[in-house]
Amino acid sequence: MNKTKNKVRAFFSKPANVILALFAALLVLLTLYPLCELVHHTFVVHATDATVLPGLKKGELTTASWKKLLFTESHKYSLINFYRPMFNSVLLATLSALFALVFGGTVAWLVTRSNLKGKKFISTVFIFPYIMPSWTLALFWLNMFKNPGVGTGSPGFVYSLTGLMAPEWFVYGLLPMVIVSGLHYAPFAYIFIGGILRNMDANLEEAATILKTKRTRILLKITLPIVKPAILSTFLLAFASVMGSYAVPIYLGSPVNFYVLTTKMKTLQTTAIGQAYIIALVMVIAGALIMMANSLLTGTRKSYTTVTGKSSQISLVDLKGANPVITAVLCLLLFFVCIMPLFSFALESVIIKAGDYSLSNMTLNYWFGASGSVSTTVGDTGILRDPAIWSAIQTSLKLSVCCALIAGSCGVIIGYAVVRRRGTKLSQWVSGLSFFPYLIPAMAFGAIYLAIASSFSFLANSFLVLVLVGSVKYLPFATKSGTNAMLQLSAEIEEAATIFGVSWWKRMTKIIIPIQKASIISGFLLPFTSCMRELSLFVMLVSSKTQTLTTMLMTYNEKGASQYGNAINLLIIVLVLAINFAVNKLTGASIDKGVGGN
Amino acid sequence: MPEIVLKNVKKVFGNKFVAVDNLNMYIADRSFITLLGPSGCGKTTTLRMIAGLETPTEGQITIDGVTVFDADKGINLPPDKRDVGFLFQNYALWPHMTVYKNIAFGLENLKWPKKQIEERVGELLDMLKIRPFVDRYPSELSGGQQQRVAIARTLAPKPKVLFMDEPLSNLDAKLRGEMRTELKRLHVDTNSTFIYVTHDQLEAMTLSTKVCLIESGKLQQFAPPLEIYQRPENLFVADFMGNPTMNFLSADVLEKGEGSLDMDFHGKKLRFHAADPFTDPIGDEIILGIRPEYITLCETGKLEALVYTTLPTGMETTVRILLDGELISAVVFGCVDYPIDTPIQFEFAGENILVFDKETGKRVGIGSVSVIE
Amino acid sequence: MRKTKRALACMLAAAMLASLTACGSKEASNDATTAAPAGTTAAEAAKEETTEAASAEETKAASDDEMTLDELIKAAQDEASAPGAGSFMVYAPTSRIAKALDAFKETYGIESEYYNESGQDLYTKLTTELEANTKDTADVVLMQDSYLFQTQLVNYDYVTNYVPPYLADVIIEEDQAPLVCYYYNKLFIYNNTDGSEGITNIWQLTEDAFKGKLFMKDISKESVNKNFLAMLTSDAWAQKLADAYKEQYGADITLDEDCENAGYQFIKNLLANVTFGSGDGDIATELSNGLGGNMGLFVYSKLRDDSVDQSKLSVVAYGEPQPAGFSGFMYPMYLQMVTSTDRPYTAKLFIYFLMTEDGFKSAFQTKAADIGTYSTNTTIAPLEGDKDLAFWKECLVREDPVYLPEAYAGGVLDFITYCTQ
Repeated sequence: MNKTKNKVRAFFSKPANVILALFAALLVLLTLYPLCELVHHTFVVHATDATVLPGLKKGELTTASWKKLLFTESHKYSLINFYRPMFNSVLLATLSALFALVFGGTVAWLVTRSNLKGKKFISTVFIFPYIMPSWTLALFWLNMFKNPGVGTGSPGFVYSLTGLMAPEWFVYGLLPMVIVSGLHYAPFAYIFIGGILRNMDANLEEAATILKTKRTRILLKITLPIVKPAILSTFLLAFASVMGSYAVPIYLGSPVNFYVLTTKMKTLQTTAIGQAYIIALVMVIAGALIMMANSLLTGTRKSYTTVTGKSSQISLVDLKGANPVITAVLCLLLFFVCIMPLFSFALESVIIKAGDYSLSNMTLNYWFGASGSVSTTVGDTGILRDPAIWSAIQTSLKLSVCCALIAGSCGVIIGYAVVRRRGTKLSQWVSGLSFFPYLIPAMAFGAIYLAIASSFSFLANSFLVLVLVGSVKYLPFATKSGTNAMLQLSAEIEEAATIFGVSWWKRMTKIIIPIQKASIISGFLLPFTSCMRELSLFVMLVSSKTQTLTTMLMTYNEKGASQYGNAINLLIIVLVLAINFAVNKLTGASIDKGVGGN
Repeated sequence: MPEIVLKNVKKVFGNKFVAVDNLNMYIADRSFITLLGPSGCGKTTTLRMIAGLETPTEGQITIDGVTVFDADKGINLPPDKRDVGFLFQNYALWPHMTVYKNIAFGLENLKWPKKQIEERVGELLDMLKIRPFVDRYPSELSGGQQQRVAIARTLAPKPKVLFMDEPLSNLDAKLRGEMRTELKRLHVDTNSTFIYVTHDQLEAMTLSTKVCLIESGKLQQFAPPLEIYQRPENLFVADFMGNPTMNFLSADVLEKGEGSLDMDFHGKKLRFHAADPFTDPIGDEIILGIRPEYITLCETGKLEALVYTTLPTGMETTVRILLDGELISAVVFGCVDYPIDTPIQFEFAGENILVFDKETGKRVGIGSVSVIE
Repeated sequence: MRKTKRALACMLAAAMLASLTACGSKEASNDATTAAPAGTTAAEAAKEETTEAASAEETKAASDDEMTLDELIKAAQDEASAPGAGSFMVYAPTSRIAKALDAFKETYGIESEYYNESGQDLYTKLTTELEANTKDTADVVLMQDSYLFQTQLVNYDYVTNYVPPYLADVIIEEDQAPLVCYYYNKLFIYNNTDGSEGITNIWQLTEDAFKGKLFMKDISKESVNKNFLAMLTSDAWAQKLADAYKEQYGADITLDEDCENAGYQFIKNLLANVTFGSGDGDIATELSNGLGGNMGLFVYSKLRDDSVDQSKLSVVAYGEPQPAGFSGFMYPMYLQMVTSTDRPYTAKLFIYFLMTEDGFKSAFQTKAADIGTYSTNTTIAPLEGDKDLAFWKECLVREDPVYLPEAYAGGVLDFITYCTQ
């Protein structure tokens, strides 16, 4: 008895244990509970379910939704609503992840291991697609390639300029979706693989060079196996992200009836929400499997990716004659996918009639116009004169900063505790739990939190609930970067202060945080950026007082005010880029540091 | 006075790995103790447990009469309450603080008055000859300079006990030699107890007043370095201490006498004369432990072998000789060169030849050996 | 040092406990308020509670009918200034509601808030909040989609119908129960740049000539489009379609095996030609920039958008003659008081306000371009170039809140989804 008391006391005398215990409880409350609700909802008859499942009353428990979605043959119901979208999702996610991996990995290798020119430009611009909301690239793709041969036949940029008509499969469907999603997540691969390549002891490769191994053989037999864990985790992360993405499939997929789980889930929300929850659950399960696969495949191998202390001189591969060609092609490509969208949005936000790029058809009234200067179905003033937009900018910034601060700080603290107690059950449990919000699709997450918020009057329609849901949803990013930051810091640095009796609080604020400042702030940037461009998570939780830029954007897009839509889109991207840039200049922190690169 | 006592200390890590097993130790005040052993033997864990950075699974630790840890009573004082200093292998200097700040930080935390801090830091800067670097950051210092800053920081609050975890292993050979001298001097100057972890037996020999040799979490021998050198308790200790290492020669016992032993060694009959009584009954097979310096190469020697190779260092020469396929080391003072593959005569000299039981590996006797026929 | 550490640990533990008890107490209070007979679930009990409140409200509302408008205004203003008054909240699928609220404040000095979301999320949010008895939810709702309105709100008495007695004479009778604030219409509109003259019979849209040339918003993204298709399977519309078929081809329609009536057959043939677009605005813009002969089905008001070249587009309904069958569809925007509102007088006043000409025009007819929105208040004339509600009711498909749930229960949606593949 006394002994257990002692043990408990000894256990809680360590701050890391207190943190772990606290967060274990908190995370169960904030992520496991919503998950249980999700499971519960798949068995409850909702108002919508009651009308499509005859004989059932609202509120009853039933397995009818499951039966309907998974085992209905009439009208190929299950095939159309579940199995085909699932197959499409997996196909899209696999191909996109592969594309991201090959593209990002190649660029990472070129930047870290060859004498490529223009590395600074490339490495700065390469992560733009990740900072931009994922739908922007999809919209951009359409702006570029639509043509008289496809859909409504309105001309896009490429057609207007060259008269080239892209075939339908190039404009809509699997191929453009793979390219767009792949480009969006290629920075993952670039950051992860690049980070390892940069830190990999060049001696490993040099040793092989001395043994007269060919370059290609070194790449295949030495370099690739060493970055294999990074490749795997990039693949799985991109895979999971694409599985959960909604914007790209809706823009590029549904016009040609290419449905994936997310778009199908959205459809079913109107008519049979119970079945929508089942799809959400399937996605969570898929995500959990991926996470397990990730830790199984990389867990044991991680050890040899650790950074060696010596940063020896890396001998760069001479690209010789190909250098200018590769540089030019890469820069052009990056210019096209990273810079062009910005121009495209700017352009689309000033032209009055779509497709007509003459100066007489342009006006800045959509930006600055006084009331009555433009006529659309939604508004008649320039967005910068609209107080609603300014309030949305404020809300978005305030929300993103709050979420970033909360998620980021929790991430640092969790990272600290997890690393200090590495190997213990509790630590594994907490780090696993903190990854869970990543797996729950944002739409379902928002719906569940709406139910929770509705039960607490102080949460309903409040700014607080947005902060709460945003912080929880982005905790995984923050925890990952917090853990990375702490892994880089040897325990001795902290112990040296412990010996002097420096309190835990002071150790964190005076030693650990200042040293890892850049990494830690980077961990704040990720939730910030994600939050700025998030829509599905917040759409049901905002009220008129808490409209964000993205919910405004959605309103305008729904109403077809494309100039406003493009203008707000540009506004979001520019805000995010500007803040990232400013933070980077001021503190040296950057997104790529946050995800694990250096 | 700060003597340190460890009673039945045991540390088991989560995965059932026993790092330290049932360790008992008494460390006298102002001694310079080295925890010595191969890597992974538990010496660093022991150090960290005494310092309070690691919590033992079982046992009791007292420092200066105060129980700082007791598993049964649930006592576990944090490191800062143990009045100790700790010097880390990688220095663990805080990269975002200047040299001055690094040294002063701990004192500020202990709420020393500002003036006193300035004085103390000044004292240490001079003592460790690092005053020119006072405003630099750790990354702007060489390894040796960083080491000095780390020492200054550790000494600043005048700890009664100073722990050092392989502090010299990151330095080059020459610097290491210099720092060794300074550390030994520092021990006298600071008038405190030093506990030092190393895997380098030479460091242990030269620095410490007492060596604690550990293997696989078990204490092997705890004695002054010369005693460990001359009278190792078992084969492991004998083998670990000394360079070149001790010769271990197998022999079959022919006859056991009172204080003497006759044995067969490569066809020759040897007699062992024990200086002390045998500690244990002796089996039929024994191992003779003979330090290279007790093998004399001389023309009158009754044993004969072939010269395998000679390794002169200038001051002395190690001669490796081959006897029926068994390599034996001998050390000769000065520079001597023997032609390779020529026969050479030798014999065993001195009173410090050891007899180990082959089965238990324990030392059973110490004495001299003579060749009878 | 040790003390502070302990204090910190205590604080953390306390925070944890607090968060745990917070949810515990919530459950407890739920139990307390629902003093329900054993065996009833909390949800049911909660519902009972709301219906009780609702009946109390109804009796009050009955006596309110005798109130004069001035008394109503006074009562509403008193509610706003009453201590502890919650905010007055309006949910609507259009952001224009903000303007109506501004005008409402200008006229009566009552502050209000709104939430706008154009899809299913509006219903999800509202019903979730009502189920949870949230105080801070809508007091008045503007809702489209008769199917969802019927199945999610009316069936559970979440909303109460209120027809301002001061306007009862001028509001179209059939749109009074439930009260429809206004109608939107979606029309077949085509690009006339190649000299196309539209269609004379709705069945022409199912012919191969229109393959890939027919555009509407993704039915999965907007439920009124689904309702429109579902309505075609009703007996009345199936008959009309069968007649139109005979008129076009001179023979009775032969049905495929999986088609129960002419409505199903029409949907099947039509969807084979349809390409889905992401939004009505995009379709309108792109249609005007696109190829001649292309046909779109989208909200009429988009025609007056700056980005649309009106001269290139023609409205099928204005054709001479109008095509046999129908020329598009229309859907109502219901205006209802939330049954559990804590600001009943304000709710009534706001409903009255939106039904008046001033109120309606403040938000839905702010400028000449705002065509395609038709108040059920007969004193409000259509905008120039537009037709009145009676004209549209003649040539468009209308939602029937009674038939739609029946149709959906019968699996119409499964059929439609099947046809889109």
